[in-house]
Amino acid sequence: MSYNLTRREFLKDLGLLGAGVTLAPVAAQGETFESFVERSDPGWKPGPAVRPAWVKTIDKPTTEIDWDKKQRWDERNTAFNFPKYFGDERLKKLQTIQAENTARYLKEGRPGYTLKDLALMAGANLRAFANVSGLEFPFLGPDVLTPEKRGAPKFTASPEEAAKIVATALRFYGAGSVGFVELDPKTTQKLIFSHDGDGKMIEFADVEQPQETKEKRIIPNKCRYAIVFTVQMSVETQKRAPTPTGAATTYIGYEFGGLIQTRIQAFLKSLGYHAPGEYSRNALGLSVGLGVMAGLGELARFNRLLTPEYGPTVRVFKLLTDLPLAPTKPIDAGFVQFCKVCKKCADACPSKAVSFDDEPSWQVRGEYNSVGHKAWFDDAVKCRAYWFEAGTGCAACFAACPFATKDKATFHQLVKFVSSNAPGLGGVVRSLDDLLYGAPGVGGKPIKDPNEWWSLDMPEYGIDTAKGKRDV
Amino acid sequence: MMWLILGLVIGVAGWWIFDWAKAHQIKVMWYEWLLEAIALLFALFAIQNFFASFEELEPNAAWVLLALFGVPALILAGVAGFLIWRRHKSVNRIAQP
Repeated sequence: MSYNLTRREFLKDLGLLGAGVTLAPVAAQGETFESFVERSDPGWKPGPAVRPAWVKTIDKPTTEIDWDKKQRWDERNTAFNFPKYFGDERLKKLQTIQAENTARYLKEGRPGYTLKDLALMAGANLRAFANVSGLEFPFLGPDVLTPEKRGAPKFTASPEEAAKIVATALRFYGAGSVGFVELDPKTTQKLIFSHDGDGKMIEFADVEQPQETKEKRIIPNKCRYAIVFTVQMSVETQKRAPTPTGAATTYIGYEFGGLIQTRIQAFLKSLGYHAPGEYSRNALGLSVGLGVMAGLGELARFNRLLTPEYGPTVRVFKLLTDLPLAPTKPIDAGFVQFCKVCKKCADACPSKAVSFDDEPSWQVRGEYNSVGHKAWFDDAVKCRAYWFEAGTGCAACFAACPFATKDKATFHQLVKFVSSNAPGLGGVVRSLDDLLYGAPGVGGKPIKDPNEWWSLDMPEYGIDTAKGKRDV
Repeated sequence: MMWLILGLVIGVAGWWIFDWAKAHQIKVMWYEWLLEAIALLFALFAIQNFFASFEELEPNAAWVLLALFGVPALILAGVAGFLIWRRHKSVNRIAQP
């Protein structure tokens, strides 16, 4: 006997099946039904975008920190202080090698080093190459029409509401994920440099407004809220590292960071608050440390921030304000555990500057590493020396990371879910990643052909702004 | 939209198979439905990753993922189909001495 559905039953079943299959990708992306519903709620929470269930919020970061040992660090200790670590003679030699290699690669027509690649990099790094003014990171921020000048009271809101509007404004200005850290002199304030790279002391004082003199940058004690944000880089471009083509996304990321900082400074000052920021790239404080404390990501093997939304393909920026902002918590997405077994970035590093140790350590590799936390410290001097050899920045470690993906294939969500819940399988994931996306290139060979980059039809800035699941 | 269309196609196909089995008095055990459902999930995962990987400009990953999840989908669907066919065949043999 045949069983016949009525038209009503047929349409009902069809609707149920359709809904089920339509919602299936939501589950496949690792989202809980709750987070899916929350995302469509206009009253979303501040801070990083609503995240899938595999990203857990925790009280203490996955990086162990000994706050007693941690002291405010002098930015002049970073390996960017070339004369300190290389000495004048070696630095001169490295600069000669850089010029010679770049000229030779250009002459050979080496992929990623042709004239158009060098031109691309120059356009992405205006401030460094053309000394164009107006793109600097201003410590004090631009002059704006403050509420006082308008004869209006300054903006007031609860810390949660204020965090929400700051995150919304930052996203509009071009930031990726956004987080907040409340500075405490005994702990998190130690992530602010003692001195900036130009030698100016950064001093916290009981003053009304931030000031800058020839010797120091003075930050009012009341500016104890750090705003930390990421700027997305182009995954497709990053895969061309280490070449000028690959470096273009790094440089343009920094340029965007400067512009976004200036804009959010104008926004905060227009609300009636102070907003001292970075005077230059990577200034003011430890970007990665603040990113970890704000829950934007975890400290990965290659000693940089690894984020759930964008993987390693971000640049991290920060500024301070006296507008009270609700802090966001650190996260555990399983990255640190995953990094213990993966080691793909270490294999990819052309100068072998990334650690191969199984476990992170308290032991620093040199004065260029800041003490007081457990990490896979990199040999930053070896790393920077390679930059001269390559004629540009490197970032081969960023490009090789299995989390440097575009997240269109649900397989990536499966990988992230597995990494978070069964990090011991990192070795399997690494092997699979090699099979699918290629093993790291030998001697700094890019994962993807830089020549092919020029025939791509990429989205604006080469990034996917729908990543991070915000309202559009 | 792709998922909605795919959902409708699966809905129609599922209903048709169910109706066809009933009409031909083919009994399908619960574990055979389960095998078919798992096979369907694998197939959907393979299809999504195949097209999405091309979108990501990763053709190698597209083909490997299609094989990685598509082959198990075919095997599971084949096993379920074989079990149904074998039982149906033996039932017919008993019914027609």
